[in-house]
Amino acid sequence: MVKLLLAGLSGDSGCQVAALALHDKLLDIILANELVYAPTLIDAKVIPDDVDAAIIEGGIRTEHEKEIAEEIRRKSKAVITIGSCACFGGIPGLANLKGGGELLKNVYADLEGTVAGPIPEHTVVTEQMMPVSSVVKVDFMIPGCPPEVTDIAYFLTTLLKGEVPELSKTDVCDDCPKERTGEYAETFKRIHEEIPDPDRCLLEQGYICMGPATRGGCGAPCPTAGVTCDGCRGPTDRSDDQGLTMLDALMSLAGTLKDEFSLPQHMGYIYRYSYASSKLAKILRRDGNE
Amino acid sequence: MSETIILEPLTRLEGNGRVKIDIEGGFLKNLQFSVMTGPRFFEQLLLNKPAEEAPRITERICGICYVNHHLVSVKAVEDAWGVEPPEVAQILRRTLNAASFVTSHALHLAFLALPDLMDLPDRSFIGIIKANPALADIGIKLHEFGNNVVQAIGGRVVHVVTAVPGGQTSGLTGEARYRLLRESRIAINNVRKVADAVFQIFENRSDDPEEYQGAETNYMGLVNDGKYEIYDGELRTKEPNGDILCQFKPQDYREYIEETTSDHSYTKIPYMKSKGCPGGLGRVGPLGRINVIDSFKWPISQEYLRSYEKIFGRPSHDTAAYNLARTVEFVAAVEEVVEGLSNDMITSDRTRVPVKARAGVGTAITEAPRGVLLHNYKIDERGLIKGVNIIAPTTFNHLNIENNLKRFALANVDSLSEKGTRETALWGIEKIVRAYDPCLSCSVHLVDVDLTIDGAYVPTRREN
Repeated sequence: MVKLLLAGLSGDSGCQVAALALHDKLLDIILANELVYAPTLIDAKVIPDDVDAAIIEGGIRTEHEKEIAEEIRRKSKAVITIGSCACFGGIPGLANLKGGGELLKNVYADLEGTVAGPIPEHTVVTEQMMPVSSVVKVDFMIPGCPPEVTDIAYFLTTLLKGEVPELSKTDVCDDCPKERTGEYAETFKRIHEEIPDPDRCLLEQGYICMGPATRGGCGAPCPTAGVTCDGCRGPTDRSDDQGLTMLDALMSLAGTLKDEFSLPQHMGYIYRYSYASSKLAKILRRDGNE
Repeated sequence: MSETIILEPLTRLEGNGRVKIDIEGGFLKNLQFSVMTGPRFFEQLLLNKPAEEAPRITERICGICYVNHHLVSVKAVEDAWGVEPPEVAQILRRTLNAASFVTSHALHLAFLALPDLMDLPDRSFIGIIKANPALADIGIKLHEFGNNVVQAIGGRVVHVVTAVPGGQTSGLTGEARYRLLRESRIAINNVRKVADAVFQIFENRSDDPEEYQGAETNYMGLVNDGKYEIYDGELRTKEPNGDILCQFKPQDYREYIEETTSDHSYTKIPYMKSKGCPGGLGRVGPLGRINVIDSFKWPISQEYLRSYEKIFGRPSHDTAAYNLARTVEFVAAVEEVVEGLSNDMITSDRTRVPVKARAGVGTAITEAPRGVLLHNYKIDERGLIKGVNIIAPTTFNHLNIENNLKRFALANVDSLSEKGTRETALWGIEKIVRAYDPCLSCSVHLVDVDLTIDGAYVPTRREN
């Protein structure tokens, strides 16, 4: 019987909703253990002192969330982050491209339709969106936006048996059923412009598909449904910077490509989920502080 | 003697919330309802991104209303680009949208709200499983049915991927359609069982109009030819007395809706421009929709609407009615999914047309399970996003919830002051918040924090 905690910080609860999609399996897990704190599901208001496994969804964007993460760490034997916000900063980490001050000025500049009122002052917003691991020690991570339902089942059952789960070592291309021919398009294509050949590799056809730079194990549901992989599972074991890996993969296209690659426009593709924890962000932040 | 009661975290709802109650000498001095989930600056991070990626980015605003964000986003881009997707794409999207209501309402009714309505000793889904395992099982099956439809049409269970400007990237195979149709027949029976169980609770409910309190507010919801509509229509607003205040196309929203900010929550506060704030505040979600529509277009939900009217009447201002209105909608959502799946056209493979990006402004509204959801984009000639405004359901409801809680706290200030009765009174507070089924992370994408006083930019603490 393991004492389980399930908490959400700055995120959208999508990982918890994905866990609910386990249906009976999730119930079996919860009923075989003890759910001691999970605001989305049960009424416990205080984090107990003796949590065995704490699962945290969402990243950190306020001082209040930082304190909650620290309290959970203090009271838990193992901390597991679920989802790409908690693991890498996720999509909200894209806002880190701008410094806090600039971000706020831009928002202020576009108040069309809004009558300026008072200022919220109930918590303090941090300068950057942060993954949980930048504030406390994290023992395991389950990346994905959200992780596939099968991932969640595997991680929970393995961890609760007291065993150490392993993240997939593949990339999304390894999972993808589409055929690669070695022929590349001459220009980047955007998903609305043409109807891609459903059987061929999307990257070869010119669509920025993040498969080569993204951790596999998901079964490539997005390319299978006819859209690019957008990188939601973060970097692979081979490289800790997803955007740089993708730039490298795009170099293989460079011989034929006639388009320019522009970072501000393409950032949302190559660092959609992992900018907050990327090397590039660290470099830009360091330069900004000097 | 003064005392501050902090109720945090609010439980059995999405996102992090706090209620702060100040009591002085036996009188209620103040009550604040705050969204605590950190702001995520979506309007900012979308700037300069290709507009066709917006449906996949904005759905991350909410892990429960993702289908609705995905769809309203693609509709807004299509509006800006002057694009009309093929009919089969419309059928697929409508069915997907309705399926998201099935899952969301199943979760809320069966697992988050029923423990309160049944007044169980263990107020959680575990309590339901112990008290009524058959009902719990049906709840799980309906949740699963909604998920199965979402996955089949949307490509994933959570954070769907198939809507692109110009249509859907994949359709439904004949095999998947028949599997879901078979499941849908069971779902119709099951949803009637859940609805009957909830109606029975309300029919037997001791008449206590003060339990949830309420407020005479305006109400908002989409309508199509006056009928219930959750995917695409005109926004109708009704006055507290039930008269229609206005009805307009999403593109005209700026003429009718204005927003302001709060000092203790990361949400904006939208209201009807013509009536100002607070007179123009409107409630959205199941109660808002049921209060504004003329009728349902499906027979079973229409039948339940008649039973609902016998209990609450229309319009009803009682917040308790949210839960029963949600029950009627739950039936309607299953009926709409069945309608979509029954359309032979749904398996057509002409699900999309290639389209061209162009400069323009696009606006769209869909209903999310929690209420009116609006996306508005300004897009340049390269198809990059240059301006974003998103109004999520809980931003409409936020101040209404707070006002509702204030009325309750005023009426129950003695129970709140006494330690012995406080717990029950605080449960009353949470029951009210939960009745709205608020989506706190949804409401918090807005970022007007530390911004302006009287129109002047105020530097944040972190800047100095």
